[in-house]
Amino acid sequence: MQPNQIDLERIQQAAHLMARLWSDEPSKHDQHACNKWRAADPDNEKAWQCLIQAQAHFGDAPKETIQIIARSRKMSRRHVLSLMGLSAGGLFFAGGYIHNWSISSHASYYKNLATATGEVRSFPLSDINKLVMNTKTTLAMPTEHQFKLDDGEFFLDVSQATPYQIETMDGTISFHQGKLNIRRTDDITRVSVFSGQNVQLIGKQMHNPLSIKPGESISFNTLNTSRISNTDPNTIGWVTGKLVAQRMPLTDFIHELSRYRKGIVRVAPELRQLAVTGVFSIDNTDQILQQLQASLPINIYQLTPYWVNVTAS
Amino acid sequence: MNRDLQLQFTQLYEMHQGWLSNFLRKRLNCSHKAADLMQDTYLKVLVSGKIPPTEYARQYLTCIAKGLVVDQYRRWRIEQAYLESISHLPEEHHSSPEKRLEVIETLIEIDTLLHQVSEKARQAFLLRRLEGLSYSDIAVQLNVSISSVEKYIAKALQACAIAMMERHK
Repeated sequence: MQPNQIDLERIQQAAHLMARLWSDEPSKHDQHACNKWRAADPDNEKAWQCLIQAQAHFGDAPKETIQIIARSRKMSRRHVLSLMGLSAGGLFFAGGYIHNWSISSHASYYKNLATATGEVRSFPLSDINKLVMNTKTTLAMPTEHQFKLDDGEFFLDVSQATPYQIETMDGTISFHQGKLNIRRTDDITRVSVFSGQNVQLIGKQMHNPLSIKPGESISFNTLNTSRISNTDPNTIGWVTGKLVAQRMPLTDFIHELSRYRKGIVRVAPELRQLAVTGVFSIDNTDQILQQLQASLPINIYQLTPYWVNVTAS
Repeated sequence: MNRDLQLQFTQLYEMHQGWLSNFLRKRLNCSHKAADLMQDTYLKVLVSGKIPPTEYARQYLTCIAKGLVVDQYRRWRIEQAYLESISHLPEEHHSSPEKRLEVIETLIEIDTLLHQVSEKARQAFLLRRLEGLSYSDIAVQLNVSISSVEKYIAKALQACAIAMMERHK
């Protein structure tokens, strides 16, 4: 059959008849009208067959097709954000991976906190203030209003205004209310403000404090600061157990990934030119590596689970 | 291929592959994929057997390449949405990579067929076709009248057939 020889008007007629027959209670008259139309002209029958042929693949469709297609249509930067519950400016603390620990129901501070590789933990600080710690993080609370971050990353969601002071090896950050992410890795402290009030910070060797507004981020060490940039909501995907990348160079992505994985992941520097975009679950880094291998021209060699090499294929 | 066509094709390749490669690399942000799509673009020209006149060559190649980029993008979105949908499942429910690829191909096929259809018509059609819902159930779910559901179904059926025909052109 040459489908392109069928004219569109016949297709339209066939579609109307088929939609009628699919309805809840097609009458005898409908059935009869359809049969009559199909028999009236071989081209009518061709159009009818064309409709049937177009549906050949629907039988193999997986159960969740409707949801998957609907989701794919919305897949854009905005969607990536809404997946994480960030589009409305609010975070939801849900998802199978986040453990909600309540050591004591009214705990307002914890002396020493630590998370293991790949672990994300949430702690209530009061009825409504929350602390979430990312992988490989060591954090101490000398007092109720003080944090000392040795290494790693944590997120604060403070609805009830509380004067918090956060210290890292690089300096001190003062924060009252809102949503704030602090990360100290690779010998630098990064502060990202998502909402709430302005945040003050000062490096140990700086003379004047600096203020940053909600929606802004900055990196600093004892002496210097980076330029202020816009806060990227993707960077706190981890709060909901996701690693979110938007056109991230593969080498950077692997660097991020390796924070959630024991052992070493080596990546060939020339793979920097490959870009990764997607939302990945950080509780299964093996699966992420497989997904990368399936979608990029790379080979992933696992010498042992603790030693992975990523090279160009 | 006759020699004349072969010569024209070679010329088309030599004159345009430079900017086309840049164009694709910029859009895809990946030189490997760009190289693939460039081959596909020229392959499409070759299969069609029509070499565009010189003054339209650039426009013609851009049009084909853009279409391929859009396909690629659509493919990527479907893949991501699918992977996302199975990422919540425990590992023992994950299917083999071959099976996954098959499922993704089916999803892409369905998505392509319904590409031109409105959101509501697409939903109505899939609810009827895949979930076997009655028109009255669909009407409730989409908050429209039953006669609208029938119209949506007809539109979607028509669009599927047309999309299939266009592919076979």
